Amino acid sequence: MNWSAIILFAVTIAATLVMTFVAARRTKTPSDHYIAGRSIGGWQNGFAITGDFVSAAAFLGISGAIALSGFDGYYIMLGVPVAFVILLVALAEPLRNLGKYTMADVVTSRFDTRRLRAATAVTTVVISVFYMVAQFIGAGVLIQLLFGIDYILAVLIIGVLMTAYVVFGGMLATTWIQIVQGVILLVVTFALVIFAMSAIGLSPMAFFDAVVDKLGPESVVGSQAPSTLAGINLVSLNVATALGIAGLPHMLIRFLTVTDRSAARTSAMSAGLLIGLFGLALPFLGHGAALLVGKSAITDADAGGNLAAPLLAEYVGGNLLLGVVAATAFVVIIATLSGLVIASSGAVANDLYANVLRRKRASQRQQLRAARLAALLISGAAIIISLALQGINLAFLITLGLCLAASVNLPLLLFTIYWRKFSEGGATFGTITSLSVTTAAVLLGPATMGNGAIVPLTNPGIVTIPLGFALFWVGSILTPGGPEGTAAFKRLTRKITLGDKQLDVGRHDVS
Amino acid sequence: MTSTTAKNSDPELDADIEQLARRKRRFAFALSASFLAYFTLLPILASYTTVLSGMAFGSLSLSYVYAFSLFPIGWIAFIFSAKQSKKIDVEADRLLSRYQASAASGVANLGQGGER
Repeated sequence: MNWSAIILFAVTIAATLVMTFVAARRTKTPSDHYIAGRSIGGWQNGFAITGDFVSAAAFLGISGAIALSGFDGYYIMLGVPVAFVILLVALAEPLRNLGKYTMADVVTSRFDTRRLRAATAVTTVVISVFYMVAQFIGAGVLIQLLFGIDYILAVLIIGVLMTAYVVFGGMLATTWIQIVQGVILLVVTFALVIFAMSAIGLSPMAFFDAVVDKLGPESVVGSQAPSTLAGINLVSLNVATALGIAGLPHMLIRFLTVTDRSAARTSAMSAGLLIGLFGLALPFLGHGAALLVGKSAITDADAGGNLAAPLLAEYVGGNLLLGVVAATAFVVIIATLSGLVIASSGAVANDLYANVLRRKRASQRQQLRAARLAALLISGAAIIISLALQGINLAFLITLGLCLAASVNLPLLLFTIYWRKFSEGGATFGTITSLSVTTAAVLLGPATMGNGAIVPLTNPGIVTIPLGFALFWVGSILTPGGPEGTAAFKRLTRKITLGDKQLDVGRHDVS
Repeated sequence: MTSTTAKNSDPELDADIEQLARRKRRFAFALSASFLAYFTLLPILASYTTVLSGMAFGSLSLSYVYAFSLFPIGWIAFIFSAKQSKKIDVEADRLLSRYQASAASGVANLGQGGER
């Protein structure tokens, strides 16, 4: 038993519960619950996005992948800069100006139909639940490895905590936990890098000299594709990651929580800076673990390499630093999960219940109660799915989530915001068809069907993303919006361009 | 429910708003598309050529130099974009006061705000 880890864990859990308690007292309206009353500042949101985005898969998964496969393990982090430039220039401000609580609110600010709202809400729920299950399974395995707790118990502990944060503390508690996570993650990552480098070589050049010397030059070079298909798969993975990150609902709703347009931009830039710093540090963690701990010791502890960073911490800082890294991994997991629960429960309670089912007639109190109930139900469902799917391939779930975000959500949002001829018919048709086609393409791929798969690509993004855009386009050409559609686009353009400060008097229940 | 706004709006102002929106759109598209292209070139070059197999200087490989470059390039894009936004904000605020003036002279437009 690692006592420093257990004490740090207890402290972390106590601190997050205190935050939840304070946030719960301030959460009185649906706006507080979904978007923290639009009170979050730019840098605060930047740290929160960092905490939201960096999951256990990034912190432990990528550093482990670099430890075992060298440079080839790094690709999955490289989509981040592109994603944040797209978020900054194309999405941050319009989302802030158009969205109320959810992604469907953004889309229906142009096309207000119940069928499109329902389709958009379903997309959010599907993407977020896949992501959530991936986090749960990863977290369960991890906690099992770090503390020797049973998988089922580990999933239940995380699940109960995450549910409590969101049900009682809403977006405010989620934001605080994510900010704390962002800070802890960066401090711990850089502390580990400094420890590792002081043991290997203090300048980056000396560090890489040691890596090439001991692990061979092939560990720092992107390897040649063994087949044309493998190369296409790698390109597809890169593109789908970059565009998928820019289309993840739980990331995008963070842009609805900020005070104004300039805070929206600051959040994209600060998150891009902070996650970028983390991304630059990852190779030093991965290679550092391979050099100091050794590849065989890493694979002995976990075949997937997920324990590379904790083992590195134990090597350079003993039990105390191992405890710190384990507690960090735990916060990383709960912060991401809370964001996912907010996004998906908002789609269920605000979109499907308050708007589609109740046709906007639900009172504020009913909406808040629905939001909390939906958070409870979604969490419960995700816990049950995670317990049932223990042992499923994690990369498969993440691939599916990112491919759907890039092939359905991103074209839907970009066309809604920027394309004059986009129509309600096209939006609904595109959402339903692209959601089905992309899901089918991943399900019929090698992850589930093995070598003779119908779709030969593990990551079909390179096909499904252009296809997604095409489906939205075709649907809009076939069902044009007419003069009323053009007028709606004009109003939307005005709102995006001039901002919502003076325009939406009396629209929100927030000041 | 919102058609009153369209009637009240002044076509010259609408054209100016559209022009500013187009400027933002072009900037966003050009920056995103070129960065995405540069980024996509990395796995293509690494998979199918030997261009990135060598060392840049010392033991720092060309693969890593390319990969690391994505982060600062993204940050430089942020700076460009922030400068562009500053200019656009000034223009947008000017259009907003024109919009408010025309709305105030129009019929009961501001109260509805053109929104649901």
